[in-house]
Amino acid sequence: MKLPIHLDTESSQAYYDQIKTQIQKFILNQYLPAGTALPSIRTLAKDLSCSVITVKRAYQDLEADGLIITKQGRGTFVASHNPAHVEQYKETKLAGMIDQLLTEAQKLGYTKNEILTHVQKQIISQKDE
Amino acid sequence: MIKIESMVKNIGSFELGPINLQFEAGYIYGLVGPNRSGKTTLIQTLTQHLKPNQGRITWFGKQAAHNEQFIKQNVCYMPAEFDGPANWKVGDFCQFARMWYPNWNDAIVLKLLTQFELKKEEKYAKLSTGAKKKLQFVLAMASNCPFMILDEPTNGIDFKSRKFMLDYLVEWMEQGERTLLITSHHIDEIQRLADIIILIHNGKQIGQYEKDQLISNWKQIWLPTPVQTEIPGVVAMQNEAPYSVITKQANETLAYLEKSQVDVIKVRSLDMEDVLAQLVG
Repeated sequence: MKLPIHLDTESSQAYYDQIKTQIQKFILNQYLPAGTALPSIRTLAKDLSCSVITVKRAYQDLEADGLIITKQGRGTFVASHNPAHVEQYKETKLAGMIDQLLTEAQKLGYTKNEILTHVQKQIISQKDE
Repeated sequence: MIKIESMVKNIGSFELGPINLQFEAGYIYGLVGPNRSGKTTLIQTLTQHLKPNQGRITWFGKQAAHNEQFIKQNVCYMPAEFDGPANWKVGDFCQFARMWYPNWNDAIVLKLLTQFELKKEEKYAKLSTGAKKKLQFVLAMASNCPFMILDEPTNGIDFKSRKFMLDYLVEWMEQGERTLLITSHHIDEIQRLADIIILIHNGKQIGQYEKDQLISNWKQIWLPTPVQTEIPGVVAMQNEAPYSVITKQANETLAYLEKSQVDVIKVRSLDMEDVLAQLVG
């Protein structure tokens, strides 16, 4: 049950956060359905060549978010899906994309109002297609 | 599990210490340092083969006096090199070690001897270096001690058995409250396995680091122009093209560069080996 996750050592995103974000994505897009067993902390640490301290932190955060559940003596599993989580995840993701667009466009010298106008224009022109 | 406080050990003109370390259950510790840094001396104080000149060591909350046997039964040591009596066979070593450890597990002996293709009738003296190491590994694992010290466990071991051993150690760690202290000159092995790195050099404790912090903090950053000012975190710089700096606080350095509007050409993580070399100067 090796997870297809990868640690980017060049990234400025903390290791635990990289693990957390990737597992979160797999759970919320249902690639890992509810009830799926996750690797133990030690095994995942070995697979990623990182420390158990890092994996423990990622698992703790995911558990606090209600995405995974640890059963004493049996291991860690994907928790039952909560539709509110999926919605929240999508919204956060969209907000991130919008933030990025705003930052990049402002670097090019556009004001927020101009950006909004362009976005509207683009949406309308897409509808026409 | 084990606590070392202000421990100093003198052997001739060599002095190890003062050492302050604490080993906790559930973690793998990688002990590293150049040759003659004092790794083996440190290990031998943990196994009670050597008595500290100053300071103290506490094992499972107990001191060495009156608890010598208890400690020996709970701290297993696989030495880097080991020579037994010339005429002993593989099976004799198993019988001998079996008497020492109260939690000895014969099933592990059988399983691992088969895995490594070792036979009880084989003469130890005739085994290759790698096969001797494998036997030591079998004995260590069968001892079932909660504190395991492996000194260069994979020296001379073929890649297939090496992978098996490393995977086995990961499994072993999960079977209870256990601690593993491992030394290796293969830094990649330490990088893969350890959670915490202990670095010593010339008998001095340079530091104890969380592995991932070490790897994510130390980076090489290439820049378009040579560096004129002091940059936070930077410990070394290359002031001829291609210009670059080495930082031990990557996030601070990158934040400073961004604030100063310096373009960054590329950022690369340092290998553990490079980081350790920087740390020992």
